[in-house]
Amino acid sequence: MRIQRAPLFLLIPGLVALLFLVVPLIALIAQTPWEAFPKIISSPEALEALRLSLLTSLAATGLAAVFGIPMAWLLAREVLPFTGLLRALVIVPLLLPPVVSGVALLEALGRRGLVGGFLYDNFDITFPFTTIGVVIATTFVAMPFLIITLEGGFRSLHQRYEDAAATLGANSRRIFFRVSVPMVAPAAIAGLVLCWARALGEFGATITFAGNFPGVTQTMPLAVYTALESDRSVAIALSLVLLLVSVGVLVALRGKYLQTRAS
Amino acid sequence: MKILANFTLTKGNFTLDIDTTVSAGTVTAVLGPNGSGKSTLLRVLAGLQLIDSGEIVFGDRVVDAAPSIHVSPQDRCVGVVFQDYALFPHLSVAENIAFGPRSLGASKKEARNVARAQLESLGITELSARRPSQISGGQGQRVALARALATQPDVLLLDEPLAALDAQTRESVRTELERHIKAFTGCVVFVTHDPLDAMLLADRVIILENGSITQEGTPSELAARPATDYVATLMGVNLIRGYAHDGLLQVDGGGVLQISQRSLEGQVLAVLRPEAITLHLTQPQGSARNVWRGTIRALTPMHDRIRVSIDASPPVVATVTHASVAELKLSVGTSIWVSAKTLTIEAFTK
Repeated sequence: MRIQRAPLFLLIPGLVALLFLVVPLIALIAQTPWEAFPKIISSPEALEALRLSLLTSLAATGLAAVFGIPMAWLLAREVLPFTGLLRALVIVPLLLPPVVSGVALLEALGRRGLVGGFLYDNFDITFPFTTIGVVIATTFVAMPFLIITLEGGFRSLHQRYEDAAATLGANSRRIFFRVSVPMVAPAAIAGLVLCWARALGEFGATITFAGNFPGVTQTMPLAVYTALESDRSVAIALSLVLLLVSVGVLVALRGKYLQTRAS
Repeated sequence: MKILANFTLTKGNFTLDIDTTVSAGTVTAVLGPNGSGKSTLLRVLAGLQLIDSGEIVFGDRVVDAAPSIHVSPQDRCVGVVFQDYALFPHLSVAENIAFGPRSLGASKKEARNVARAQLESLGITELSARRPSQISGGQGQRVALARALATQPDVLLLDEPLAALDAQTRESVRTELERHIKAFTGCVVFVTHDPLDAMLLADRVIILENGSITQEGTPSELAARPATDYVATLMGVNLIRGYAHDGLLQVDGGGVLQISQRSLEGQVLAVLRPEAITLHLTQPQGSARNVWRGTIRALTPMHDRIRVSIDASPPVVATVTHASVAELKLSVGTSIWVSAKTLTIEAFTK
């Protein structure tokens, strides 16, 4: 590694940025009530929130995989008209404030919503304020992460591999599942993990669209928010769990995002 | 089985216009400069690219007839060796070869047996469990060939099969490749930009320039009677265009040469081999000779000789020994006499 003296005008603001990002995390760990931690974490409310979080975030990731992976391929191969516009539309939920996503979902899938009204009137189906509502809200917010990451993967996959598979007699299904998807596996895994991490942390769209009902829609982030008003130590303990998950995600993705340049 | 290809295809302002036939049991090289449409022609034959008009027939089967018929690559019975091989990096060598048979409905076991047989016939059994990233370029080429042959295709298409190799492995892989494609009973079409590959491997060569076929023939026919400057350059001969009358060739662009074929009349091409040209510092005497003056434009060393490009009427390239260059003190700008015996100029009508 090359040793280079950093100029002060870069060193000082850089270190300020680092402190700003790290100090809150240190404070969180420092304030953790370690004696009470096991009890708080194993309380029925906490376990319920954890269970619900895992369930909804995994369900959202599954839905994102089933629908998002094909969408990523369609965008990468530019088989649909107006691919540029479609790509922009897919990215919008990524930039939208989550609470706005929640309001938009209410207008679409709420009992008096564009589609939800029809479903409620004809089939008595409602999404808001249900566990399925949580899954819908988190999928809406998290799926773009998967699509965008994977589109890059499919795009960098050279067409000739798919061509080669076609000349060897593979139909389009076999080409997709045996050649395209395995070849973009690193991007697919990165996309799925990012998607899942985003789903696990989802707050704004969930509380707006699905509300905050313990055991039904109260996921970990919502439980943290709720606990903050009653018992601060519970909020801190639950936050620490989410922090550990984030660190876990970072470690899982280190191959892709933590690699420094060689030599 | 033979291939009939008569079609056109337009991409932007490039048009590929093909009309040719390829017979079974022959090896055909498509030779042309970069951007001449060689790879596109191969993709069309493989079914990876749609044609705009015309048709392509494999044996008695119409595989393309624009715009109504298009047999997909999956159903064409073609084996393709792609440029850079396009081996699937996530599969082992054996799985790469078994991919085709599996796609066509063979059981796992059958496909494995086909792969093993292919590996054996190409003498690369020991590579079976390796990944494409763990084998050399020459081995990759063999695996790509094995994978293409594993589906028992009627047509074998190879895109620049030797271009990815360094000069040393190229020789041995070419010999190996020759053995396998000569043994193949169907049609073999390969694309190359290297005249040596075409000369050594092909029974027939199709010259493709700017989307059109400019000449077809056996390698020796092309060497004897190149139809275009591109072919003449590839064959390393001088191509002179002119008007023949009564044993004299009035060269387009200036100059007159005697030719031995007195009966030739009208617009002709003439081939003059560089080694048949002699250079002199003073005007040479003697009969049955063409003698003309020129100036040396460039000297290019080749492996055992030196190519001398001469500005003259007509301009020519001569090859001389290093000794002659030293003896005559040749350098760029040297004024020189060029001579060639009449008998060495082979004129022919197009």
